Amino acid sequence: MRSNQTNHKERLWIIFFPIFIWFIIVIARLFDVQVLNAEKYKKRQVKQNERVLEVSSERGNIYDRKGRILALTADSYSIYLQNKDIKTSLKILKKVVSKIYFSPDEYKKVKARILRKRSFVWLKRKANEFEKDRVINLGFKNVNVIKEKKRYYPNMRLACHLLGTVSVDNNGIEGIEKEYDKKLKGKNGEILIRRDARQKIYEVHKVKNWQRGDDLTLTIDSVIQYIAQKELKKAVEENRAKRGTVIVLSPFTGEVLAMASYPDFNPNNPRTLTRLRRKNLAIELNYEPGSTFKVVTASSVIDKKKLNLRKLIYCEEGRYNYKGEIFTDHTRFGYLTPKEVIAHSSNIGTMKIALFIKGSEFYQKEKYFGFGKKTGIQLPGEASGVLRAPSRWSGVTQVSMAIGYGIMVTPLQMLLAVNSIATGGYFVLPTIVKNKEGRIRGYRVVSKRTARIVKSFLKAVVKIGTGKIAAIDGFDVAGKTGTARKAINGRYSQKKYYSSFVGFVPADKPVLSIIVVIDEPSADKYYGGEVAAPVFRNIAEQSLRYLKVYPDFLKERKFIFAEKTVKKGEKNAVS
Amino acid sequence: MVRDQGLNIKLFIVVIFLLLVGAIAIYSSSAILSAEVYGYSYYFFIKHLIYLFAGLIIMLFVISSKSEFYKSQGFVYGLLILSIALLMLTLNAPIINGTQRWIRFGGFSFQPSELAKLSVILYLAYYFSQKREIVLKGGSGLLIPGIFVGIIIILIVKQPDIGTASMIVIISGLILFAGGIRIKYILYLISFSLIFLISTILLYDYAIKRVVAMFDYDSDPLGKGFQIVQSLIALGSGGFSGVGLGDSTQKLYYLPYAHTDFIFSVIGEEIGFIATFLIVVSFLVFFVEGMKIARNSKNHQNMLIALGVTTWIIIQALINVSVVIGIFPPKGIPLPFVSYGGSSLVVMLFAVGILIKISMGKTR
Repeated sequence: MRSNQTNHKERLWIIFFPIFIWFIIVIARLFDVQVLNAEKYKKRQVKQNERVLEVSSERGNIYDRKGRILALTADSYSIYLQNKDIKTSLKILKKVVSKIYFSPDEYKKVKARILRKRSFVWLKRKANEFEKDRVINLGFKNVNVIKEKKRYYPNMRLACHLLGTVSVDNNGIEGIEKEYDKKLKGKNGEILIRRDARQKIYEVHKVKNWQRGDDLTLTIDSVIQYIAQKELKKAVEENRAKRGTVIVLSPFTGEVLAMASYPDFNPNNPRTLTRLRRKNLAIELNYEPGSTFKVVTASSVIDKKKLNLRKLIYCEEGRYNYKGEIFTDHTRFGYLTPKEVIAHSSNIGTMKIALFIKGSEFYQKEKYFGFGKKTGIQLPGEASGVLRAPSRWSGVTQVSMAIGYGIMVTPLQMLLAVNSIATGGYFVLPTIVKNKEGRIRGYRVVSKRTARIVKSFLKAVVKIGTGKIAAIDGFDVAGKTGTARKAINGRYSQKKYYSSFVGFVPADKPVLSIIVVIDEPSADKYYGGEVAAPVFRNIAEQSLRYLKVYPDFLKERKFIFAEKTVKKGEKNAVS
Repeated sequence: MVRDQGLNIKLFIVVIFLLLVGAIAIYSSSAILSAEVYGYSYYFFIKHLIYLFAGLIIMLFVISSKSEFYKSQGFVYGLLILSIALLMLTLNAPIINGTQRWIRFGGFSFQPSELAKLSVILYLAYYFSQKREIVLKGGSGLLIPGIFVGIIIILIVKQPDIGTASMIVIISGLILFAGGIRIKYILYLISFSLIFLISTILLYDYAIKRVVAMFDYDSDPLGKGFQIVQSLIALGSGGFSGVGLGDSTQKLYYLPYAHTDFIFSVIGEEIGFIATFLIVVSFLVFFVEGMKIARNSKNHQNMLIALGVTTWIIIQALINVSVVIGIFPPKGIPLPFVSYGGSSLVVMLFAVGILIKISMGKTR
């Protein structure tokens, strides 16, 4: 019995010992998890149940110069589905699709997300109130709505390239919306949410309040913008052109009154925003200006006082071999005065004029006129053009440049150069955003005398030269036509042109500077004087009427003014 | 050698302490689930209290009873037959989570396998103390208990509940070992158990998955190992002193079975290492006291009962804690006295009553 008793006690010890060790291991492991490595697990917990969400602020509005609204922010409704099981979700989707519009792509995306068992599926982001009501009235428990801010452009396509557009998350991605994104956006708020394992939110903290963005007033005039877009669209379509652009500038302030490109898009509907359509040609197009550049050539030479205005220039009967290259005119000219050279747009005459100054002098002037660098307008994506330095010129570069080849410009650069003649020799920097001080920045680029002489040339273009179609009853128009062959694969095309017209009106007291560029008109006409000049005329005519700028002879008949009181703001707006 | 040990106060205190901690933790960890499923937050808590009081009454009854009825032939065989009968009822029981473990009485469900554990302990203790010589000799004497226990194990495996079946095998083995059986037979038993275990694991798909989960629970935190990862996150984020009573976030459905199998994790998150350490130490005290009772008991039957009850409760506790701290493959085993357990709690308190009664030394 005794030995048995000890035997039992030994065996109890044998049982006791390993279990005791097990206790020690458990305590050690607990210490490891809860004390030594606690931080690691805490982080994992935060990661799995905490999220910081941004609360988007409300974007500021965008107005035109007269306070008309161009872009605004309003409530919209984003409808989402809690995807609990695929079968019911697909049934719900079917019902929803019967109530509101889904594009085939949208439908596919939503369906794919349901099938992928995502617990949270957007059915429709930023639906309007009507759509929201139709879906909610279906009464599905799994379908809910989050209120979101949506950007609206009430004028649809008006000024679309300028305004640009925003992403779904209300970030500016094009145009002014992008350039002034920070200012317009305000400050996003932040909330911290905690969710349980089923993604249900059980705790919400506001971490940061949101702040509404600032409003922005542009220099654009909606009416002139509308006129420009309408006329541009008409011209591109009638001439079966690829695309086109128009800029309307207030000459002395540099304020852009209208900036249009075609084809355009509807910023309310991002799907219309293709790569081709989104391009704001007015500032993004690099092109060889052709004859419109002769304004710069003439100004440069006259400003150096190297040109005798009475001297006749021999235009070689339309065919000129210069340093082994053949240059031609559209018409055979014999002897022309400098004014006639510009008025009739003789290439050979202009080349000879250009040779009165040195290459370096010409280059200096071109730089003064703002070529080869960005104008600094407050829009994203501006091109700078290409102006090569004299050290990289070949023998014929100077004469090519004189007639607008071998140099790349943007429509806005070209307009600003010609605008310097309108202002009497001042180069005015452009702006598209109204500044409170009304500050105008610019510098003298040519003398008063030069501006006066070149202006008389440009008047002649419209009176007797290539730009007759641009003439407007009752006003003197100054301008220059351009018909530039497009370089295709390094050779100049015989069929593809940039047809352009740039000018200002009224010539002696300019109110509007306008440039029109049409890319590849392919109906029967292609001369700038035939394709672009009428666009200039139509826009100028309608805009002058809208701005209540009347021909001088009408002003003397007092009853017109007695009838209408001109608002101070309107008058200031353009002068 | 005969000595009156009196009421083992340490054992009594740790059990009451664990029951108290359990009741609080059950309310904390089940309130949200209760409110969502039953509309009020006390559902599980009140049900638990009903079981708890039923268990305490039985325990006090056993302690205060004059006779040692749990040692009598009638009681031991009666309980054994009842267990087998109830286990057979589970063959027709409704399937819950793919298993048939519960039978229902009115609003309460009962798990016969819990009762089976106690009846096996009492039966083996009785049998070996009566037929001591046969046991020491080994051989055919082991056949009768082998058949009874075998039937119970097979019925439990049918449910299927491999965990409980393994527990019964282990406890039986420990009782045989302590009962003085020759080492040779222990080795037979071990090899037989291993063959049995492997074949059942291969037969039941879910068991394989659990074994696999043991090795790679972290590589697929949203799959099989999800529970364990969430359990470790709960314990770790509780840290030394916890996030505060009632403030567990892991119980928000990150931890499945928060008030049953993973209650230890919720306690660890809310009250921290302080609480988990105290709980483990409490079980250690229970273990040491239980083994002392076994060692000091005056006769063979008492010794085997005390050893069986103590190792049953302690191994179950250690497995539960080892699972939630990630050093043991996931098993659906509740933490004794602490988890919401229902019938398991009642049976365990019955067993504790017997243990205390034995410790009081009024054995003759």
